[in-house]
Amino acid sequence: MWEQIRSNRRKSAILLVLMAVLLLALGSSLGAAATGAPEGAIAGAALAAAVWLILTLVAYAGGDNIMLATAGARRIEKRDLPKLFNIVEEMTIASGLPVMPEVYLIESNVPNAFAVGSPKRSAVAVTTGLLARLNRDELQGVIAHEIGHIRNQDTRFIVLAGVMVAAIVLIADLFWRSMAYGRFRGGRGRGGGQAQAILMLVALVLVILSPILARLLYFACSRKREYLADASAARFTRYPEGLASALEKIDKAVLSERPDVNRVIAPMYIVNPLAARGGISGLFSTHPPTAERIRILRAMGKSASFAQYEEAYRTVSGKSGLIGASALADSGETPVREAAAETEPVAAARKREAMDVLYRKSGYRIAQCTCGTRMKVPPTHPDPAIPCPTCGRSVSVG
Amino acid sequence: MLCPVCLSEMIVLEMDRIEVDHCLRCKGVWLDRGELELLVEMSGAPSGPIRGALEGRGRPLIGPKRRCPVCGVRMDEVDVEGPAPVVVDRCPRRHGLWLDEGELGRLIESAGGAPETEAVKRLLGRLLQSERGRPESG
Repeated sequence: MWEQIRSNRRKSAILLVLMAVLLLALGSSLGAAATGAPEGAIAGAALAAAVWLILTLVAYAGGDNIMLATAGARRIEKRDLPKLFNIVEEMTIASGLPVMPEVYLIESNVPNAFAVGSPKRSAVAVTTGLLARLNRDELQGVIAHEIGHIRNQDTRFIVLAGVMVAAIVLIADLFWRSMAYGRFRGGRGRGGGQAQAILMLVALVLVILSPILARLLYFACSRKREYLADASAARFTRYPEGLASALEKIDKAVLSERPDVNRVIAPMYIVNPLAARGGISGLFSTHPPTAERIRILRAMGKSASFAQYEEAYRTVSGKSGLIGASALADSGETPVREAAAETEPVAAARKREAMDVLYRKSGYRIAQCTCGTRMKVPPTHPDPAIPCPTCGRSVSVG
Repeated sequence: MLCPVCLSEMIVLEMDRIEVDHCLRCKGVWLDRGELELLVEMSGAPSGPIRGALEGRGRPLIGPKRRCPVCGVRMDEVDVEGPAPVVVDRCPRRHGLWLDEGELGRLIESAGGAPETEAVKRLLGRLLQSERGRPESG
């Protein structure tokens, strides 16, 4: 079972090794160019490895928390938003994840979601804009997609590969900076000028190419993972239309909103909020075009199996080989279920529910005046009673 | 969030599931972009002059600096078109509109207007009845 994950893991390992080779080559050529001696190459490689090691340790010790904090995410409990928790629980079971992810809420009008962590310890974060705009089926699709990322170990890979890219970019950047300060121009007097000039040339080529190459490798892998997470979501929910419709809404809203997200976290969201605007797609995008993802999900018809997703993928994109053969044979019959019948509260009510959770978490006191106006008073406000701006009655907010 | 005028902490008021931020000291109102969108959507009115003001071109604001309570960027000034245009402050990054007490009064009392303006006037008028009823705010 899960052959595509194993094959993915193999490809990821190859990718990481390639990146590591790139990193060491960059470090050693810079070391050699700087000192003009073979020992310089070893020192350079060791330095590059040290940079990578430190970044990896930081990412492992606190990477998830750093990312959640950068996105401004607040951890919430089941009693805060039982409906959301219910969906996360459902999808944890459907996906076979050993531990339920922690749930985080982000205050943002832009509807979006991302996941971090490994199957044993993970978190999903959603924005208030997402909760306001999506109905239950759509929200379930998005959560299933994020849990798909965790289940397929994508979140872990993205951190590992991302750190490698960061190390390469950092070293290349250090080189340009030291160029500016003349560190690399001083070797001339020591002789061996020609050899060092060649080394210098090699170092320069690597400095220019390796950040681009590293990013290309990273992006190529991450695009395919998006399709696989979509396929997983279709299977976990047995309702591809839920995710398709959610992606449509998110894409539309992301286009009309101004992006207020961090560039580092942008590729982790279900729809990349920065790329969606510029219309960049192709080699340098982390996500496949959303329109294509929607077309594939809608082309699945009556079955929500991996085989059906693969077939829809082939029809829409003209490519094949997304999902491993044994997973295709193994997945069996997964008929698409009916849309959930429920009376949906309006977007405004869903938004109030989500925002009130964040207000309470931030220490706001919520009071209701008898005239119907609700007041949310920040913790810094000193007065225990406030005159209601609607009716003038004094309302206690203690 | 801090009031752009007197920098005191604003309180949040909710009516008909729409929120506005309100300064108890200077009586101004911050209309967040997301809330404005919800309000217009719920009233069923097409996008009108208020959304137009939020998205349109602004003029530099003369007088003391006022900063957007969301992002801290210096706000500019825009016109809400209608039979009697009302000037309001706007975050150039489109986070929302700020109406100080006088602008709020002029908007609510302006005659007629597009369905969108009417929906906003109705909500703000009802929400801030008692404060607007006081003699000093007339």
